[in-house]
Amino acid sequence: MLLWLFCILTVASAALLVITRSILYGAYSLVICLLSLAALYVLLQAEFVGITQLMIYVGGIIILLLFAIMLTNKLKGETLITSHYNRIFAILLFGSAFLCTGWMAVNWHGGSFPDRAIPELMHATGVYLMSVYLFPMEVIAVLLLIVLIGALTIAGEKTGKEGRR
Amino acid sequence: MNEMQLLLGTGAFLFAAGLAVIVSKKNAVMVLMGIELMLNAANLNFIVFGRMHPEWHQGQFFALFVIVLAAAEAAVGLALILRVYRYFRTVELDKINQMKG
Repeated sequence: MLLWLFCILTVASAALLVITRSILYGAYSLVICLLSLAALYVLLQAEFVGITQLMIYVGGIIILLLFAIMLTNKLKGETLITSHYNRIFAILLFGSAFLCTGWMAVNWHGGSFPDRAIPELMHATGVYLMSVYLFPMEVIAVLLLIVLIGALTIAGEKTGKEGRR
Repeated sequence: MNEMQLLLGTGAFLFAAGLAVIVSKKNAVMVLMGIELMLNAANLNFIVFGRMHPEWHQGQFFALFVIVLAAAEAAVGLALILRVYRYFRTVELDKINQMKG
């Protein structure tokens, strides 16, 4: 029952993101979508991923997106409206992608969830993260460092000939 | 419809919605939001299939790494968007039509 509620919330906010023309409404519907996805992860016994989703997506990426919205618009009182293009193509692409993947989802007969809940799954997740998956975690930490330095370099570089218009 | 099909269908809808956002929006920030939506669809599928064998933990860890990579991608993408905005004074994608540096 709770699963149905959060699935419907996810789908509704994603649909709002598709059809809205205001950038800020899009960002806020993305927040709702990510929050309900985190709830779905918790319901699917992936609490660690749910908390990570809350911290990184809702706490980090959304803030970055809002900063980008504020920095890339001339805020002079008018509302932030963007328009659509390629409408027919987008509808066709949406329909075909949703039909193909949704058809495979509806026809899924490859097994279902185990009935009983595994006890202390999150404890085992921490142990795995520090033993089996230690090397990928260190690699991805180095990758994050490189990415942040690179992003700072790209965004903060000053050249003399800026401003074409 | 059991819960497996419900969750996989939600993932399918999220993927298709992200694709539609990428194709149809004019603002570059909205395109990044569409990419995030598609990554979340993949993540939901990883979690759902990992839930079938919870003691193996593979789905959860793949989803974790995908989340971190999405954060990296968003940081670099937003830096590029800021750079493009500083040069072209707009982020409307159909007005950014030259490659001259």
